[in-house]
Amino acid sequence: MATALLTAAGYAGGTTPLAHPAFGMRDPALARSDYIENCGGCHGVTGSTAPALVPELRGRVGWFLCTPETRDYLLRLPNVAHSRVRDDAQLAELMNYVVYVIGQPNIPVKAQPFTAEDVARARPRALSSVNLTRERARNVAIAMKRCGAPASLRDFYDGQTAR
Amino acid sequence: MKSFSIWQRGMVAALAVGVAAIGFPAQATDPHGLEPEESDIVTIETPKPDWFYVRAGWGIDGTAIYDGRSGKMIGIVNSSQLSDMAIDPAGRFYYVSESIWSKGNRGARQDMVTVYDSKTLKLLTEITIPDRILVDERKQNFILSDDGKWGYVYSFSPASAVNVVDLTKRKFVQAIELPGCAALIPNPGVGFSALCSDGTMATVAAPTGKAEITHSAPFFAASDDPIFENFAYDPAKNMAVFLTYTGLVYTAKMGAAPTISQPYSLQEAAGYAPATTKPLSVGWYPGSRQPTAYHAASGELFILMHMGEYWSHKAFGDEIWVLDVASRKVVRRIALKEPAAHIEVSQGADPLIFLNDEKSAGLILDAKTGEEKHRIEMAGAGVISAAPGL
Repeated sequence: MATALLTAAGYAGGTTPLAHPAFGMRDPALARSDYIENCGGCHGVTGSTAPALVPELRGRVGWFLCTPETRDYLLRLPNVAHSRVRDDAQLAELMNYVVYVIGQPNIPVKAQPFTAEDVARARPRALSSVNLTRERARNVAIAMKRCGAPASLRDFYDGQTAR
Repeated sequence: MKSFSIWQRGMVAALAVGVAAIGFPAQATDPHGLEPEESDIVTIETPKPDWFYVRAGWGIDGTAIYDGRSGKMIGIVNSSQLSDMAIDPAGRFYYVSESIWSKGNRGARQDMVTVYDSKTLKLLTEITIPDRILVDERKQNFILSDDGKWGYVYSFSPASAVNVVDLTKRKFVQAIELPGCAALIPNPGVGFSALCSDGTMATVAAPTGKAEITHSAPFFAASDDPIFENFAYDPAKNMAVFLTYTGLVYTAKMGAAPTISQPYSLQEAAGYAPATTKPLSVGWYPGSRQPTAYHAASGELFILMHMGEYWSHKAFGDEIWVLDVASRKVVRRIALKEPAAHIEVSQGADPLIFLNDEKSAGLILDAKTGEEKHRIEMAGAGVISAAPGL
């Protein structure tokens, strides 16, 4: 398990991750394989897709742990809330892999891992009748203001606007 | 009877558009009885009920038009690799929603709805739409309103969205985000609907204006027993017909709040036990790339079936099952000599079935008797559409 996590962390940022209980993953290997199977097809197995028009997760997605609202945004994304991973705890671990391993090293201080309860609360409130682009922009603005996320988070990947 | 398609002869230009006539010097009669052929420009008719539109297949441009009655090719609509085609309900235009690049595989990206005249197959205009992440060759990616005034182009950019196009003014109107939903369903007088990952049907009312999104109660399990996105729509009954991977049949009366029926089992309609999602439970299952076709006048659904187990939904069809949707009975079964990848049925009174496979072998059958009418080599390996019931 630790090996899998270290390998993935190597892809994601090259720094040594914290011990996995702090990431809210009892089974990081499963969380990683769940990510690859359910998300990696579009987001990339290492969370990197630039310059494709897909939000780059690597080094960026962790900013969304900033406030209860921005955390909730990630869990309410339809492809998360409606995931084939039906078990709330298992989905929470998948999302902890996303934010802590793929998102590192840019994790807001004092961020807390997702829990099964967080997932259970978010699932019935999936963002399926709103403009997701606007909703994302709103949450990025919160992460910038409250947690110092960089303005480049507004783009889908660093340097998108410059292209 | 054997017909050869234009691809086999190595020609790529649309048939209807001839080349400029080359002046031949006046000559005495050729000793071999040959006459110089003069090129001209011809027009074709507007869509006829026996006509089929067959995509060439992945990586090959063009949608060939076939007269199912004669088995002859009539022309090609110039659809690019990453495109979907829709036919004007009044038969005046062919619309192609497509993504192309200025230098073929690179350069400036251009997304548009391209408008062709149905008689000359000439380009009339291009309607620019926003860039989208690619979607391709699914009939439910691009639908028109029943009056032909509005086009709805599925877009994934990367939020699920629908680009609304005014086909009268030939202008892009707006993109409506529809997160978690795809596969567009006509909904006359309301707007359009779509199927969603939470098992609901979303309905977008007033898509050209305020675009209000509502959801039905969940009625299918997108993860456990998904609905084939190749579903049917009956304009006269204003009803959609859905089929799941295990063979559950749902109908939905469309409207501002669509009413969705309780499902029934296709296999049970044929006298078998209902199919299940359990592993190693072998039986007849629906499948292939385009597994269903619907003949609106008779209410019959034609389904490509194969022996397999759950999650074998990509297997090509060895039989066609003909389901009378209203009476819930499989009324005919047609065994196929070669497995088929796509199926379509014409909308006239004496319907014809068009089948093809990944090797582009086309086959036309009488939809009532299953009798083989035509075989067409290199007919196209992609999705098939039928002319609208006119």
